[in-house]
Amino acid sequence: MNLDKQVPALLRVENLQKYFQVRKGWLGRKIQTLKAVDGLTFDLRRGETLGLVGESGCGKTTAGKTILRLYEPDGGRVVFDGHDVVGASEKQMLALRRQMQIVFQDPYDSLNPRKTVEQALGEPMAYHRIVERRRARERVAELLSLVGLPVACMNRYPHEFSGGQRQRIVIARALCLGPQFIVCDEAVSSLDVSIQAQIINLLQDLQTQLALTFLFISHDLRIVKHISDRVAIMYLGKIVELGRTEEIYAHPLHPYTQALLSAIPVADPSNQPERIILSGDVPTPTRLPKGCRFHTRCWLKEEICARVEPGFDAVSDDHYVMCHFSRSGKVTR
Amino acid sequence: MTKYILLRVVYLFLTAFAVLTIVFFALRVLPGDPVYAVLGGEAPPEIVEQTRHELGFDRPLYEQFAIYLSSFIQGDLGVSLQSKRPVAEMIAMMLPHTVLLALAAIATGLIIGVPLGVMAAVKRNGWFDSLSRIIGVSFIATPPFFVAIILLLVFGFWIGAFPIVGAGEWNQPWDILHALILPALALGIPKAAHMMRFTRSYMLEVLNEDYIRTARAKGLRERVVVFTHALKNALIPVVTILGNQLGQVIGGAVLIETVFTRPGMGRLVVEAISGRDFPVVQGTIVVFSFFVATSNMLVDLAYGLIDPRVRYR
Amino acid sequence: MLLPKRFRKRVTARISPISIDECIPTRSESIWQRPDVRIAVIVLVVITLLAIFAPLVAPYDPDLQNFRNRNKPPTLDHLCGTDYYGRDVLSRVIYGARVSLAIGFLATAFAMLIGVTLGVSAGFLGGRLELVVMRFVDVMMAIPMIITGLLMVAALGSGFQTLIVAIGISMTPRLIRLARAPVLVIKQREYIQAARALGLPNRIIIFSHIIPQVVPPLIVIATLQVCHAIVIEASISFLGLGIQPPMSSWGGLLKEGLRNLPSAPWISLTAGVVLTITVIVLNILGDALRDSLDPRLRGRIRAQ
Repeated sequence: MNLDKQVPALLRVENLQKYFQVRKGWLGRKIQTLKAVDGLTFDLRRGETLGLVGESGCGKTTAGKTILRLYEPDGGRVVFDGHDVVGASEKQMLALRRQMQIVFQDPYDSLNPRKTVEQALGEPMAYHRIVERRRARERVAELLSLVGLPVACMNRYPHEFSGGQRQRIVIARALCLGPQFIVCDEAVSSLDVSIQAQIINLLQDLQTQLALTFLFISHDLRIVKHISDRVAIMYLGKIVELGRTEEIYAHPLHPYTQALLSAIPVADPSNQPERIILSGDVPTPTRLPKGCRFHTRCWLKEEICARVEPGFDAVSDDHYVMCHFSRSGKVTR
Repeated sequence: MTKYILLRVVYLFLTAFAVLTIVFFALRVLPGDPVYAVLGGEAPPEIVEQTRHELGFDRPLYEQFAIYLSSFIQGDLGVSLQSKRPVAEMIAMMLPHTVLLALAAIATGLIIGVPLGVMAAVKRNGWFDSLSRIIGVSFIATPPFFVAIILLLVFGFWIGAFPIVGAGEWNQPWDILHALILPALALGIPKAAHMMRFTRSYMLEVLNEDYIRTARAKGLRERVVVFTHALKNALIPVVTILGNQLGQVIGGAVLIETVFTRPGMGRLVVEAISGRDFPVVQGTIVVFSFFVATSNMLVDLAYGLIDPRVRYR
Repeated sequence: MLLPKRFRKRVTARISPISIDECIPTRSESIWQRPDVRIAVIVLVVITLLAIFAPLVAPYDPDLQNFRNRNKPPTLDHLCGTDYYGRDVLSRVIYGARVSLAIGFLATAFAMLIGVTLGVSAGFLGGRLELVVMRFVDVMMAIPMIITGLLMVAALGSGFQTLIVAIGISMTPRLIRLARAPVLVIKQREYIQAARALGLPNRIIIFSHIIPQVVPPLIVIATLQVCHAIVIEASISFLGLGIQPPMSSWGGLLKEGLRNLPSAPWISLTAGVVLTITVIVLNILGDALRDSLDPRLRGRIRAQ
C-alpha cells in the first residue's frame, strides 16, 4: 500500500463538531450541550486504513456517523474526493452516498428481520438504478460470493444466519453501491474471536480487491494494530495523537495513548510493561475541563495544562500529538 | 416536589385552555348554524341576521374567541342560547350530581373489584378463579348503559325498590343516596370487573416475589402475608389505572344519566350538543376535560406518595 | 458444572435473541387451543354471517309495521317479541347488526388510517411535527371519547357515513399513540441508519421498513378498538344522535326499548344482549391476540 504523503487525501475532516442537546428537568427546560465530537481533524488517504481508537463514550461512533451525515454536523468541514459533504444538497448527497458506506457494530440490529438478503441488497441498488432490473439478481449473487456467502442464501431471512454470516451480509450491503470508502464502526466487536479474524481477513481482502479506504473505528487496540496503516487516538471528542501504526505502538507520545497501550496484554506475562492505571474518572462530555481535556487524569499535569489547551502539533513527519510536553522528552518513559 | 406539583397544575390549566380553544374553533368551523338552532329553520332572513348580530356570531372568529376568553377568565361562561340562563350556573347545578355519581362508581368498582381480585389470586386456578375470570370477561366489556337498563328494569320496575327517575333533592340526603345506588352500580360493576382483573394479575406478580417467600419463610401467617405484604404492593399499579378509569366513568355517566333521567353534566352536554347550544357545549366540555386531567394529575401525585421509589425531579 | 434443570431453562431463555421486530403473532397456534377463543370466533362468525345475509335470515321485514301486534311478548311467531309499531324485534336486531358491525369495523379502519399516518410520521420525523401532534393527542385524550364522538356527530350530522367519520376521529388520538410507540423503537435500529446511509429517502424507509413492522401488530390491537367503536356507535344512537329511525341499530333499539321498558322489556334486552355478546367476543379475541404478541411489545401497548 502506498502511504506516501503525496497521495491526495480521499477524505479530509476539518474541525468537525457534533453537539447533542441534553434536556434535563421537567418540560426539558434545562438544556446541556454534550460535545460528542468537538473539533475532529484528520486526513484519510486513498487506499489506507485509519484506525480510530478510544474508550467507549469518547465520540468515535458519533464521529463516524457525522462524517457520513447520518448526524448533521454542527460545525467543521468534511471533504470527500474534492466534494463538500457538509454543505452538499440532497441530490449531491445521494451521489456521495454511493461512495461512502458504513458497517455497523451489531449484526443483529443492522438487518431488517423482515427482508430477505436479496431484498436487503436489491432495494438500494434499485433505488440508485445501479443495475438493470433483470440483472439485479446476478449482482446480488456477485456480491454474496464476494463476501464469501453461498449464492443460495439469497432468499433467506436474517434470523437464519449466524452473527458472522450476518456481518458478511451487512458488508455486502455496504458494497452494493460500489463505494470507495467504508466506515467500519466496531464492525467486529460483537463477534467471537475466531469469527473476528475471518471478518478482518475478509475486510483486508476486499480492500485490496476493490481499492477501498477504511475508517476503522474500534476500542480493540490489537485489532486496530493489525488492520490499520495509521492510528488516531480519540479522547472526549478530539484526536489526541495520530500517526503511523508502528510508530504509535512503539513510541506513543501522548500520556493517554501510553496508558491505553500499557493495558494491552502480551503473550509473555514476564514481558508485560508496567501498567499505567489512570486515576480519576472520565469527565462528563457535558462539562469538559478547561485547558487540556486530559489534565484531570494525567500524571504529568502541570499548571499550564489546566489553563491552555495544547495545539495538535507535528512532532515528526506524520506524527501529531496534542500535549504540551510532546517535545520535551518528559513523556518518553 | 412542590415545583413538580406547581408545574403539573400549570400543565393542567394549559390542557383546559387547549381543549377550550379546540372546541371553540371546532364548533365554528364545522357545519351547523347555531342561529337556526335558536330560531328554528323557518325564520325570515332579516331576523336571522339580527339574531346573529345580537349573539355576536357575525364577528371575526378571533374576535369572538377573545371576547369569550376574557369573560371566561372572569368566570362568565356565557348564556345558554336555548334556556337563556348563565352557563356557569347551569354547570354549578349539574356538576355535583355527576361528580357524586363518578366517585360512587369508582368506589363501587374498588369495593367489589379489589377483594375479588385478591381472592382470585390467592386461590389461583381454583374454581373461584375460573368463575371470576368468566364473570370478569363478561362484565369488563358490557356497556354500562345496558347494565343500567337491566338494573332499572329489575330493581326499579319489577321489584320497585329504587326510584326510576331523578336524583333526589340535596336537602334530602337519604333520597340522594337512594337514587344513587342503581346508577353507581351500573357504572361501577364493569369497573369492578376491570379492577378485579388488574388486582389479580398484579397480586400474582407480587406473590411470586422473593420478599413474599421470605415473609412466608419467617413463619408469618398467610393472612398477614397476603394483606400487609402483597396487597400493599399490588395496589400501587391499581391506583395508577384509577385516573384512566375516572375519565371513562365520566364518559359513561353521560349515558347512565340518560337511562335514569338524572340531572347531570352528561344530560346537559347531550342536550346542548343536539341543540347546538355553543356556550353550554364549550363550558361543559372544558369542565369535563378539566376533571379528567385533574384526576390524572392526582393519581400521578398519589403514586409518588404510595410508592417511595418514585421521585419527582 | 451442571445447573439445576429449572435454571438451565431460564438461562437459555435469556440469551436467545428475541427481536422486537418479530412482533407479529408468534404463537398463533396456541391461541387456537384456548376454548374461549374458539367459542368467540364461532360466535363472531355467526353474528357476521347473520349481518351479511340479514335479508335471507331475518324472519320478517324489519320495517313491516303491524298495529294489531304491538308490544307483543316473545312467542313462536316472534321469537323476541314485537315493538311499539308491531315490528319484529329479532329481525330489527339482525338488521341492526349490519349497521353496528359495519360502523365498528369501518370507523376503526378510518381511525387506523389517520392514526397510522400521523403516528408514524410524528414518531419517525420527530421535531416540531411530533410536538404538535402529540400535544394535540394529549389534549384530545382529556375529552372522553363519547363526548368527542357526540360533538363530531352534532357537527357533521347523523348518518351512516358521518357516524363512521365521527367515531373514527374520536378514536384517532389513541391510535396515534399506539402507532407512534413502536416507531420510536424501530427508528433507533441500525438498519434504519443503514438505509439512510444507502441514500434511501424517508418515503422508502417509512413504507418499506417502518410500516410493514408497525402495522401488523397494530391490526391485532385494532380488534380491541372495534369493540370500543361498536359501543360508541350504540351509545350515540342510544342518545338519539346517531342512526335515525326507521333505520334499525342496536343503540336505537335500546333507546326505543327504554321508552317502553316496563311494557316491552324484550326490545332492550334482545338488543342489549346481542350487543354485549358481540363486544365480549371481540374483547376475548383482542385480548388473546394481544397476548400472543411479542412480550416486549405487549407491555408497551398495554401501558397505553
